[in-house]
Amino acid sequence: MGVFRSYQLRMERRRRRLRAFRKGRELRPHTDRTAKIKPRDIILFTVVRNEKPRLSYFLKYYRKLGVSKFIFVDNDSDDGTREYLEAQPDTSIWVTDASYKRAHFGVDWLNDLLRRYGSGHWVVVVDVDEFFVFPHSDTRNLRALTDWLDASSVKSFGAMLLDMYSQRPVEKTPYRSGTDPINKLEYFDPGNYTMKRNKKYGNLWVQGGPRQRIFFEDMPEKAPALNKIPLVKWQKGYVYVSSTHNLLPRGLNLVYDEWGGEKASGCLLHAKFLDILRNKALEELDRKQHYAASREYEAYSKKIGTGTRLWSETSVKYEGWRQLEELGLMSSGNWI
Amino acid sequence: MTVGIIILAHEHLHRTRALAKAIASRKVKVMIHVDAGTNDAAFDDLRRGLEKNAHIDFCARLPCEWGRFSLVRAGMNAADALMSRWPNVSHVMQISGSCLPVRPIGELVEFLERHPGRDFVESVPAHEGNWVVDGLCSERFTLYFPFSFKRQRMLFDAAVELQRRLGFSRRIPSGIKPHLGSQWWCLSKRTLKAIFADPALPEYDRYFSKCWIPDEGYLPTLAQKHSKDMVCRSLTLSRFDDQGKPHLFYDDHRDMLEQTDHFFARKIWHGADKLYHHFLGKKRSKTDRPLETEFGLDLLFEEARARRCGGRKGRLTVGRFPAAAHERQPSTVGRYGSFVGFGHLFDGFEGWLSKTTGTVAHGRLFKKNAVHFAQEQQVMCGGISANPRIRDHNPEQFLCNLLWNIQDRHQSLMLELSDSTRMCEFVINDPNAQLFVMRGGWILELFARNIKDLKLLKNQVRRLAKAEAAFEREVEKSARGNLTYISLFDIVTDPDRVLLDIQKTLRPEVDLRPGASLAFRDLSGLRDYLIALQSIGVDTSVLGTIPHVLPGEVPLVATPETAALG
Repeated sequence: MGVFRSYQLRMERRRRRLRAFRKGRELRPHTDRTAKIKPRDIILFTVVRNEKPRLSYFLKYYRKLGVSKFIFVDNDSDDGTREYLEAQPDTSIWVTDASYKRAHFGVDWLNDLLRRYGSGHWVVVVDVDEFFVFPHSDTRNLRALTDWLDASSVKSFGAMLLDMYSQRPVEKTPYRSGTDPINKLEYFDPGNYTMKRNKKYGNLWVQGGPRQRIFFEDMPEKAPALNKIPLVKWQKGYVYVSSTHNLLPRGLNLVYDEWGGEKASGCLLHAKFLDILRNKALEELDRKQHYAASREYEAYSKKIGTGTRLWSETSVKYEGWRQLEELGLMSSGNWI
Repeated sequence: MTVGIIILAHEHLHRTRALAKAIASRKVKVMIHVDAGTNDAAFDDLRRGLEKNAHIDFCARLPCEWGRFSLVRAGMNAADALMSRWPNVSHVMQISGSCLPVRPIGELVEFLERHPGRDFVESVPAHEGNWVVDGLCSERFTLYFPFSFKRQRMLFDAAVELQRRLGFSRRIPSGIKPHLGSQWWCLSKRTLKAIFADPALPEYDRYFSKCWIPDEGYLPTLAQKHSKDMVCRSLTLSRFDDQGKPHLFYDDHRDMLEQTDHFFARKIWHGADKLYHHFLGKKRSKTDRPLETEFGLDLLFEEARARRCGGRKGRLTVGRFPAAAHERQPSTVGRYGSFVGFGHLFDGFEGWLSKTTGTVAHGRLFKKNAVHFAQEQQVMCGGISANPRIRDHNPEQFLCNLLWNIQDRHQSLMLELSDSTRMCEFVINDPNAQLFVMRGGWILELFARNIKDLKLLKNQVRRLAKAEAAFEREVEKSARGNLTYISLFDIVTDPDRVLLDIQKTLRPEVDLRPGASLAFRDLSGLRDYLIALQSIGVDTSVLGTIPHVLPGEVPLVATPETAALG
């Protein structure tokens, strides 16, 4: 990369930092337990809006994985999300009723909180419907992974977003709060993903899965990106660029090997396609606060509620990380 | 007689404490060296917890740095201190604070009692050069290393580079030959005493103090000089990954560690509570397994190396995306057949192919506006949609995915020159593709389309002839081997022979299943059509010699054979 490109990216990073600083002032602290953060804590950051039914299992899952502090941005919930979160011992909550869209779909808010509380920590940045699976996650916790990454001088860890679904239509897949959504959403597409390299930021750009197969069949190039970098050893000066798909400085996006080998990587099981999505899709479409003119929610609202199933004869039932590795959707690299 | 163990520790001292206690509980003597850089409060804690134990002692703390002589010095001081404190030890063994005894300590004592005076130290000649993973090997002994690798990396690299350019080579002191090996050694007291008593030792120390990672060379080298009875192997299991960093062990490795033929294993992740509980617990039963090579762990190490360095060909993941310089195009996972220009000669060619050779025979996967999977499936294994737009989004990876998803069966696909120039190029350049090319297959395609408009026909002819020329140029450029040219009229004249050849070339490994017959399409009228094409300047000679009777033609004219019979 030339000097000029690298200067441009440096400027872009600075712009994004300033923007995060400015947008961060839209956030009001609601419950601040950040004084209790210990130096070796793994902290999870996320933005929520009316996600109450999902929260209890989400917190349980990540606590078990080894996350010890949670930082939430509550974007104007009115379903009891805030009250539920403040009753938890390990959460801190910032609230805002400002525009999600104008905060780069929440990224600016997160960047600001990450700078303030994430620096020096391993941070997990996921949505409440994303469940992180990494090599050996059935027997080892996140601390084992981050210690190994530290020993290998690795600062970021990549994962693929894997859309999970049931055999039934989305609107007929009920979710009961507190239960593991993957018990309902047992299936996934094992082998229809394609990827390109983003020249500017150096990250991979992965597309495919049931969303491309069904919701975006007429415009596959517009299908949602499935590449994610959810685990980062955060430093002051880092910024997420577009959702958690890529970061700056761009070295953090090099979570893949370019010489034919495999770097260790994981998956984010995406528990989105539950009955609660239908109302959400209609509401979000109404608010027009989502990415690319809410194209995705438009597609959902058209197909969901009409009996559309994501399941096909070729869908595979989820068994665990070793199965995902075998299928070539993630890898344990040289972490034995 | 008893055994002495040196523990070199620098972090997670609560683990060291448990380790030392467990070892001392079998009356084995323990000398602990704690890095002077370690937090004093943590050290005092450790000391307070262990000082009442008569089998445990501490030696003076030296500041240690990875890769430097200070680590050798710490170990040798500890060995000296141990032998003066407990003169009746038979062997001294060096382990680290992150080791665990994977066999009961009692078994180690018994084992060493059975081998009095024998040294167990890994020691490989430095010039053999296969011991070191990812790093300097014999240069460790022939260059000077005045700078710290961790703190002064730029200077370190510059100094190495400079000495290499100058063709620098240090003099190796007489009496020793550089050897490399694990620093987790076990030496008899006799050998250690002989090393300490060597008058040349100060010279050796001076020499090694400027070597790189001397702790992996010092004792392997000196033991070669002084040992009378040496077994070249370490009693501590310790392996490095492809980046030269030690593999860590976790709770889930317990069963495999139980299988190893070593007495200790490192490094244990400090958070592996279950491993610590299991291997330091009081209730360890005696193991009765013989000292054999461990298969489970070796396999695991080998798999990890292969995965990290080689990766799985034919698969891209968020962790594997080879750069263009490494893989010119996405690579496919295994062999597959590509039939170019066969689409308009037979009825049911794919069905026949699949029946006789067992291949999964797809139709024209890359036809414009359609994807014809085997049996016209709408969603193929792996969730690949028969939607041409999705396919065209990334046709190469579409094919790679298809091949990856059905690995347990051979696959074949049909391709026409008019389908996709891009994919024609791809299969030509893919060594896994077994190509069968029917020269002039496109003429049959035109024949089937029966274009009446002369201008349009001329355009099509020009386009397809050009595509064929480009195809052949690409084939030449690729210098590929497994490609079979077939001429149309050969196959018409003697279909059984040509088809058998195709079967044998495509699947030499399977027994062919005979029986299925293959019907030609109606080619009556082709004779006149060719003449018409020749009149607009098409070279039809690539089709071969036109036979007397074409499929679908009624032999009205008496051929020489029928004339003779008549």
